[in-house]
Amino acid sequence: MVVIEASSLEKRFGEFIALKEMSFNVKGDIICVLGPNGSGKTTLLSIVAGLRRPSKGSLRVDGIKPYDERDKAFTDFSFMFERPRFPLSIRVRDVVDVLSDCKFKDLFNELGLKRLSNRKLYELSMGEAQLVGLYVSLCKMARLVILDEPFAHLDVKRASILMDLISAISSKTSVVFTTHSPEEAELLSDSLVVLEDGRLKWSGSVRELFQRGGYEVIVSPKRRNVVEEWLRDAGAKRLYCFGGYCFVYGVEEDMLLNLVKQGLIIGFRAMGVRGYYVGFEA
Amino acid sequence: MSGSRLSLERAIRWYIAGGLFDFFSIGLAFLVIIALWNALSQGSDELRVQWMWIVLDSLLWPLYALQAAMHVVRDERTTVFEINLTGSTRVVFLGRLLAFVISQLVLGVPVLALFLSQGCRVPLSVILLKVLVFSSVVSLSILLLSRRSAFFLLVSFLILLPFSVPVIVNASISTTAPSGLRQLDPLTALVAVLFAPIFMYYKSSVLPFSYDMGLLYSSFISVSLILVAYFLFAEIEYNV
Repeated sequence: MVVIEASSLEKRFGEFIALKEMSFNVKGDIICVLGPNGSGKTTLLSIVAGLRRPSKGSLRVDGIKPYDERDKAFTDFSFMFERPRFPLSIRVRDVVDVLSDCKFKDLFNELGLKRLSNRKLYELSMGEAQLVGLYVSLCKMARLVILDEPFAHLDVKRASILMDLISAISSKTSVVFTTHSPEEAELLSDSLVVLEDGRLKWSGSVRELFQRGGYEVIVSPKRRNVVEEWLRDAGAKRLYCFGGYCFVYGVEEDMLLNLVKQGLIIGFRAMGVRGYYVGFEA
Repeated sequence: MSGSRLSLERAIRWYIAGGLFDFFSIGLAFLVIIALWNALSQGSDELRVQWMWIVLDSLLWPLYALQAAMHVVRDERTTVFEINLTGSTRVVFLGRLLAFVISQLVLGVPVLALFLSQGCRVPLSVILLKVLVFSSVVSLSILLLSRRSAFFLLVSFLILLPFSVPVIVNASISTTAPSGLRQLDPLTALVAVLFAPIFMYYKSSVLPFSYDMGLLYSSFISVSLILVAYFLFAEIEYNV
């Protein structure tokens, strides 16, 4: 379990404000920072990792300011950032050799790195380099593993393997990761920090999120207008349709089940974080 | 649960495994030394050793140092990867620096042995200063986190300055001291000892201070620069 606490946190790069004054307190075995591209996820993560310091305010991870106690942070935390490209002629097997006391014995095979053993790092594709970065980060079995867009360049199979891995290690080590996919965020994490344009949109536990009572209705954009009308007629209190989704409060589960049976909608589920993402929730 | 930190020894292994020893460069350097040695066979042994040292001091060694330095100087993203790998900025910095020093020994020790066997009189302290000065320049270039900027810094301080010292020294003596007193001003003298210690060993008579004092000043400056770089490297903000 890790506790991340931000207090009036702000990060500027010259005139550009990457993180606008934000305060939050989240805890969990797996914490996700969710937001669209350019929302400040990586900047926030680099402060959590101790690689950057805030321009204003503070951020504490389990009580310590990682950017002030870098020695401790770099020993206790491990991190992997997106778009890994290593212009190094070292071979993958040399990485394994240097990390010969890896605390996660099967990781090499589980990530499918065996076939890459003889490849040099600069020869690897983005996805392959990402796997090597993940291997290094997970091997340390640090107190906190920080992963920036860990699923971004992976195929579906590898992404699923990684999802299982993260879930499995979270009993021993805490994980903070970023994603722009609400599904990945909801499936994996205990708590969320949702960012947009460098501002905090929402933070809290996933359990809280699902207790609000609304529904996300999955619908083909072709039938969206019909469904929207139907939901309004059925007494929806709040309704917003966008893309392949309708976000709705005030309709009964049985009514939605009927719509599925009639083939009008593809499915529905408890309202998650997507509502914040599309602007339905404030 | 706590994480782990890679030992310095393993970090050095990491930098060596990545191709620190470029056998083409090492082989070529030895070939050039042997060719020069034979080409200078007409003069006296003392003159031959002196010329060899000057060529080494101003060109061959700096070139060799440049290619080794470019191996340990890495961009920001790779540096972040290595900090994660080792668990410490200090281990990354020292690993790179010591790997560079080791690379210099691979060329330096055999050459030194060859010269000593031929009656070379350049003291070991001068050679060590050269390695120390190179290390301080490499320390500064590590801070840049950009291979392109580092290349420019390294070429300037490892090659252009040492190569310019003989020209600057000769020009300074002929313009500033027309009669009798043929000495450099203290600042020029210090820069000359710092960047071309072997050349200045043979030209020590133009120094306004003793050569040993010059070595001491240069060592102090180099060690100070390494320490400053060491502490700054631990404080840099990393862009990821």
